[in-house]
Amino acid sequence: MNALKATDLCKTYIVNKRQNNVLRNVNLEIEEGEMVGVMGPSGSGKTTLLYTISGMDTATAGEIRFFGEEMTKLSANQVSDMRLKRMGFVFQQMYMLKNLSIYDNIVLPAYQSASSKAQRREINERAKVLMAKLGISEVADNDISEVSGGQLQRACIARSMINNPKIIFADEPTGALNKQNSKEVMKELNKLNEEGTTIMMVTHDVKVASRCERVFYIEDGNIRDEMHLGKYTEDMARERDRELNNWLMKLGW
Amino acid sequence: MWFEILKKDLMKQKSVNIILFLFITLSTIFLASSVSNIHVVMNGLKTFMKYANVSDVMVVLGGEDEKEAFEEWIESRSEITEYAYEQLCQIKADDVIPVKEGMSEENANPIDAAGASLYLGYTGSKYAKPLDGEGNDLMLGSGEVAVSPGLMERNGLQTGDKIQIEISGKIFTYQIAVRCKDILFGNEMSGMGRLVFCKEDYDAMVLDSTNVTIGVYGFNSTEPKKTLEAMNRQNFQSVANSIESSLYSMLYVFDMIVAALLIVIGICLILISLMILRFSLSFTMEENYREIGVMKAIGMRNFSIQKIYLVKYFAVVAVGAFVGFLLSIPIGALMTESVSKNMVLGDSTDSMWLSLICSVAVIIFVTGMCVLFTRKLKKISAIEAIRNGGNGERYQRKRGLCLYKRKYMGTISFLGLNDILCNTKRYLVLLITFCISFVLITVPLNTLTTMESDEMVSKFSLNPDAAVYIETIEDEGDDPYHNTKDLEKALRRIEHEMAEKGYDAKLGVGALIFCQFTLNDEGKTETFLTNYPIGENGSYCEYAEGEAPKLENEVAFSKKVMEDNHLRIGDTVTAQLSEGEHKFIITGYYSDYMQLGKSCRLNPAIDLSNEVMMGYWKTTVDMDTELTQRQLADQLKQEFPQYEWLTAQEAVNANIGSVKETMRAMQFPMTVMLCVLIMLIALLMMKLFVVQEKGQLAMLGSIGWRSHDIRMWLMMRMVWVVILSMVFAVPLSMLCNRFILTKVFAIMGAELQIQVEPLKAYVLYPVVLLVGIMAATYFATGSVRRINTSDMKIAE
Repeated sequence: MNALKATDLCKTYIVNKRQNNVLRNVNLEIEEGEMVGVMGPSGSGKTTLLYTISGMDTATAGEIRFFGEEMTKLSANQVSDMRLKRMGFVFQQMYMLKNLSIYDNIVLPAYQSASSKAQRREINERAKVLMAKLGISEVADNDISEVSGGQLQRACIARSMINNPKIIFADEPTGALNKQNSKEVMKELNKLNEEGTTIMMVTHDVKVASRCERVFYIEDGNIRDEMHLGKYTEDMARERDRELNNWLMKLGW
Repeated sequence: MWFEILKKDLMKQKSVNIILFLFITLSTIFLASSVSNIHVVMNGLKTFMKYANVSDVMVVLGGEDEKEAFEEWIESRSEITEYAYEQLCQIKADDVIPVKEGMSEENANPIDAAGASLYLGYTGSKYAKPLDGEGNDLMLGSGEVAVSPGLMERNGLQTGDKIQIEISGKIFTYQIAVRCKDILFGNEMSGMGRLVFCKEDYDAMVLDSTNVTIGVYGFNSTEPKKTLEAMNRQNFQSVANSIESSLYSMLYVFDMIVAALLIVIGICLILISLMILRFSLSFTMEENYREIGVMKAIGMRNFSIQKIYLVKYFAVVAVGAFVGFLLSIPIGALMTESVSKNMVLGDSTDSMWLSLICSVAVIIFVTGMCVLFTRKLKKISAIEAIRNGGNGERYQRKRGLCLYKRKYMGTISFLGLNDILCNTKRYLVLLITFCISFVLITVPLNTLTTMESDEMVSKFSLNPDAAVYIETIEDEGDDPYHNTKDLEKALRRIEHEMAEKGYDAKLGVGALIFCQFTLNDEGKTETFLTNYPIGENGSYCEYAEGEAPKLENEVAFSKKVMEDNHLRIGDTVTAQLSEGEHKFIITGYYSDYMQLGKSCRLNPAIDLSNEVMMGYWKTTVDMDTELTQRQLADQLKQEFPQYEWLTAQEAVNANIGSVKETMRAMQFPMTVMLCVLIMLIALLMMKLFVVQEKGQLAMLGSIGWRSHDIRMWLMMRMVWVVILSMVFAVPLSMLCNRFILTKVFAIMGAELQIQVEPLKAYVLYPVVLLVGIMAATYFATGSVRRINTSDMKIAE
């Protein structure tokens, strides 16, 4: 089943009375359980595509279907609910509420949608499991300024996972991290994908993109090409990097 | 780069700069206009006193029996440099009928004097002269009358309207020629009003009238206090009151209250401006961390960098203060306009300079604080700044509460409270402002509640549980009663009249008699008013300690008399009565407002029928009835229209009516003004928070929070601030009751328990404030809907 399907998706900004067509008739389909990367030069519309397709931004034209449901026809509140309960988001900058601890930041979206004490108990259990899985249990009570970038990004992943989303949208999730931290974060995303979570990720990093099953190349607001790499395995990592590099070079990357 | 940063900063933080500008403008308006208003009133009062020629002391004598003796005594006093006498004639408000132009005499109603005693006076007096609008001596022709602005406004009168006066059966008609400025009788606070005529008209009215006249002596003395003490020793029985010139300034205190209130608010607004300034500066500096580093690296001095920020904020503050100064001129003029109706203000051009000084002071103070706030620039090293402060030292542990530990708290409520606990400084000024505003709202409210309470009734020596009261009991054609026997007869007569119509009532009244007492062995003598009971429950009193005098030789004094003269229960004092000296033992003391808290009580066992009675207090009617005082008073008004039937409140109003009316008139606009200001502050602060926290708000929106929930989160902060401010404000208000209001009420001579309507003061008003603040915050957070994911870049 299609987790996401965009048909003739357009996004236009008007800047200083000038029309800027950032997305031009984008068509793409992402299957449930797939891990998809989006690459392209700066200003090509990668992030806009991610924000528009996830409902964070409104499309100027076209259709987006999320598990068959037409998103463009939903009200703002319905889209918000969908993002809160069925989608997860990881950003390049580790945006979190500065007055909350790591743990509270993680459980915040789930608490917002929970009403009973029993639900909160369940959320706490889930948060503990997620944090243990992501290796950040020891920093649960820390402030966001007291942990490393990698830990913070893993906390963001935990937050994106707290509501058991069907899909995670990641915008340059390793952009602000060093090599070691990037590797850790990607390992976690791959693990989540293996467990069945669909992931759509925007990245500049070939090593990161090579961990995806499929990579789209976007240029001037259009998907110019896509590459199927298949499911990620650690032992084939080098070959996948090389293959992806060659493909990107052909596209003028 | 210098100019670029400045330009970028002004544009980038447009909203914050506008909010800062607005706060500075508002605070300058309030400060400048209020300070100049207080200056105008205080200076105006001096001018008014000079123009009206206020004497050092004014003594009011009831009737003219002791006129000769009093003048002889004045002549004998070497410290009295000059004196003058003026007669005034008392008149009931019911006997003064204003007839407006185009209105028939039959439809005209008696004048509304708001409980104040009305007097007829004349032009040409030497002291406390009534003046015309320009401050000149009043000149009136025959058939003309001058009325004070308060009376004219309350009754909707204009110059040219007519006033009909009924005096001893004769009717006189006069035309209002002038709105007069009358320093003592023109102020609503004095509880007295005067209609001024030319001397010939006055004489024509008063001749053959049975109305009570009072004699007003004004005299200048080199030692006013010594003169008054000497006067008290003389045992003049008709001296009803003595007023020192300092009392005049008390009458005009109310004209300065609103201005004083605005000064407090102005100071609060400056504090909030400083808070905004501080946030704005630290926000800008964090944003420009790298630029600051580069400037330091290329060798710019600290002060040169500091200047960039100082110039910007100086510009915002200077423009705000200048606009505030310009706006304060018409607002200040509006404030003094109401005062100028009653007063001769004289030259008030220097008030403009005072406004300007206030505005400059705001600029200097805020810019000075700005210099302090930017000091941390010096601590930033070049390399640290270039690295964008990445060493982590900039961060401080801020965490307040733990969400997962708050099992019963909603996420939104939690976030709101947590934000306040994490940023206490940010919300402290807001909390203090709400707190002060609440206290400023409850103080007049509690004052009014107290004025309308049974406690107040009892302090005026009236039994709050009495069935009803009568103002005057003279029968038609009777002269005013001058001894206790007349009073007793009148009480029996009315009881009989009432019994005939089926009312089984018992009447009692307090005869007001001045008695001179020798208080100690050194021979200190003083004259006190005695509220001597006649009939059933003639004189109501609640004793603070000891008990009521039960025997002929027992006396009770008010607490003030006891304290001033170091008297104790059991002490003996000597009274000079008409039949000679009489010794009394003090059996107790009480606290009430009779004669400004200086009075005494005797038992009816002692016969005072030969003493001169100054008058009598309200007559108490005791009877079994299911009706309320209001219903019974209305019913008896129909049955016995010859008497003026009163409720306990009306009896109190006759003494404090104008003060209460002034308070009541002020309370609503003051509450509305405070609410509007608080709402404005909440609105601007919330706008500032939205601007500063755009990134966080965008992030919440991106992870699926609805705009409504984000707005609720922001509003919840204000809810918590209001709740916390109420937690502090309620005890603060109680402390104000205890230490301020009690003292204010004590000026009238007695201690009383401040009365509070808890539901109104501590539930209704806080809820009104909360709703107002919520509405303002909801409006301010409207922009949350327009925040989108691109705003996340602003997140910290």
